[in-house]
Amino acid sequence: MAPVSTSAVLLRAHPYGETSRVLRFLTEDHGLLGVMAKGVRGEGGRGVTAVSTFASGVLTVYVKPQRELQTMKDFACTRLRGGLGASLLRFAGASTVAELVLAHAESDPNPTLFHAMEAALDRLEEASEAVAAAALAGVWGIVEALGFAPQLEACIRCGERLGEDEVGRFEAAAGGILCARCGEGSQSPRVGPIARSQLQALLEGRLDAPITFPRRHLALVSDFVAYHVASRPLRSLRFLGDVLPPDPEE
Amino acid sequence: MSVIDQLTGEFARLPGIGPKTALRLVHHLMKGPKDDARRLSRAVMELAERIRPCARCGNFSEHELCEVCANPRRDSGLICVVEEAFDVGAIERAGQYRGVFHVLGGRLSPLDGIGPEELSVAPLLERVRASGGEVREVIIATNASVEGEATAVYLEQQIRPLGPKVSRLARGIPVGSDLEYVDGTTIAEALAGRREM
Repeated sequence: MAPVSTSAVLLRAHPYGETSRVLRFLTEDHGLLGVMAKGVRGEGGRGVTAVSTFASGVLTVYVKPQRELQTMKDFACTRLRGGLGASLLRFAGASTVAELVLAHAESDPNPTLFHAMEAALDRLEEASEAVAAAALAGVWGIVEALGFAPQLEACIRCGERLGEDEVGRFEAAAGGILCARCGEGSQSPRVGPIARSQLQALLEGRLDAPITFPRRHLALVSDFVAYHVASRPLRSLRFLGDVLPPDPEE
Repeated sequence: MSVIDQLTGEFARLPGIGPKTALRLVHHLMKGPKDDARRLSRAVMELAERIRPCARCGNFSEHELCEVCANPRRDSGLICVVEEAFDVGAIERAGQYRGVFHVLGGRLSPLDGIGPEELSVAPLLERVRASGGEVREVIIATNASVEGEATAVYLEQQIRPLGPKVSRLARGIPVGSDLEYVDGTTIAEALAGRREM
């Protein structure tokens, strides 16, 4: 059996036995891949630091199609992303995108998702000021790559484009924004033009628009993820909520 | 279910033991002297009945306080925070540390639903507060992983306002290893943490 190599990012690592680890990678060519990494915890094990959560690199693995866990030959780390552990917000954001991918990705290759994941982690590590925005953009980026992006420009019900100053409602269950007329009487969160443009920027992975109310944005993405993407509440989202800066008083 | 199946199942639940190894262990016990099996059984019973977490640090102990906390010659002004109780043994085996410990019971891991409330953080902070300034330094010895680092950052934020110095274990090249075989990330960490001679 010849080993195959693919670009990969490590999402999760569990100790196994005295010296091994069970690793869950998102790979470019093989989708979500569970591998057994023998001997990487042991004294002097090669690549001990390299198999760190959120690290990217080239994974070489012996693949048997029917196996749940493949056998790792090597993981050549190209980007460690140790900076994600240096701030709780960065760590929470990275954990949330990883959990989202683990909850929804499949073993079929999805290069769009792979690149969205890498971009989300890089943004989180590199963002100097807008770390909260980078965390929210990361989650929205994965949601979009999984094919669930919300509709923001036109009303999800009547299809009319929202006016420049129109305040709509974010209807997570319907998959986007309701215009003022269709949203009348709705209890869903109000979304004005500023929040809408911030949401659009987050979906595009732009951190240039300052996020005024990060916790409200988190509530939007949490509702959306809970309804459309994950079959269970994401544990990391709760942690992200704990470490996000508080919204300013209105 | 037969006794053999029952014991095989119990062994197989232990870390690192699969069904085949579990069955091998059961066969070994059946073939050996009966006293060996009785001694093992007694040891497991005593473990379950006598071992408990140390009331002060959370380390495994046969008494209310573990051997380290009960030792008056240990420096109680120096607390080393570790993820798990078996990390205490690793540091003790080095024979260099004279302070006391605090066992967190894990590390922050949002993916597993482990936040600060699931760890022994509040007792640590209470321990520092109650010492009335006796605790001079808290050494954070969580693992050198992203999760361990995030846990260290969280602890530092919580402990520093209480007064003690907060330090982190150094990272670098393992003693006795050849530089040629050390991976690039470890070398990068060692370069970043170099010290003047």
